Amino acid sequence: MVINNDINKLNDKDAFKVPAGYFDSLPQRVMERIDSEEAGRAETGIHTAKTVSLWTRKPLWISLTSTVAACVAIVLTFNVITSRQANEGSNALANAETESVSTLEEEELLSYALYDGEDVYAYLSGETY
Amino acid sequence: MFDERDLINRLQDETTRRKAFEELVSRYSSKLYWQIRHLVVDHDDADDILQNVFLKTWNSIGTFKGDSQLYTWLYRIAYNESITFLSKKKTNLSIDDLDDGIANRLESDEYYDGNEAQVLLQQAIATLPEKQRAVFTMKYYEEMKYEDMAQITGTSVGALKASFFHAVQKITAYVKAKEL
Repeated sequence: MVINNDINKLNDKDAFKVPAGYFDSLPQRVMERIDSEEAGRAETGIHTAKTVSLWTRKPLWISLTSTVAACVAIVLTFNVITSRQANEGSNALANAETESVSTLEEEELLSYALYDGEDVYAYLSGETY
Repeated sequence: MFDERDLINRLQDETTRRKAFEELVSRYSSKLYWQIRHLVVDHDDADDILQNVFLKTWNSIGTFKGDSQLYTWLYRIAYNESITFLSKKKTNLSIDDLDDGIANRLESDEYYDGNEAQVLLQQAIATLPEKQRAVFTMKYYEEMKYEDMAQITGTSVGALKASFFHAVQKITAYVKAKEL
């Protein structure tokens, strides 16, 4: 592919080499690895079947009572949290400007994008391509 | 004439899956290998990643819905595995290793036969963020169409074109600076 002279003169497509017979032996090596992984999974499966469960069944009325109690606790907690948040909301807004956005290093953030800040600036400033 | 639909059907049938999978490996390994190799450069790393790709393919072949072409699905797995590998490798390297380190490694690499100038290109490519590096290598080495790249990466054609453009600019600037 022609890009520009600076890159094209460095064309190293032919510089990459492969061990002799690599592709011929690959299907066999891949299947051996699959067989090995499946054998490992089969062994793990046997061990799991011998494990005794720690859970025991409870009468239905105990389960229902526990569920209702958990729901009531969640609702009460939610009400407490929202009333606290209403008071803290104005303080949070006042402090928003001073909070840091992220603890990720810039390089990590940029690696999640296709291009870095320099590219974004160039794009926004209207460079054509 | 190769019938991809027939291969998919045989892959999803337990009685014919093994033989069909061997055929899949034979048919697609070269293209997948080079896509991975041009991105990670080292042969042993490419071999590891390629085997992981086939392993994941084997484990999830039953979930392949056929809504995309088989090779697009495979390429997507290869792309994700390669990016994950590069991200992990990057966290273990110092900033100096990113470009200078690769020159030392390539000079002693028996499966890379480039001259000093060609090693410079690899140094430049190594400075790109992983996904931009993948866009550049897919376009430059594999000469992949942007539409195919969009399906593999899940990114718009416009964004890919912009990424490639900026990758070329950065590589050119890097090479010129080192040549001075």
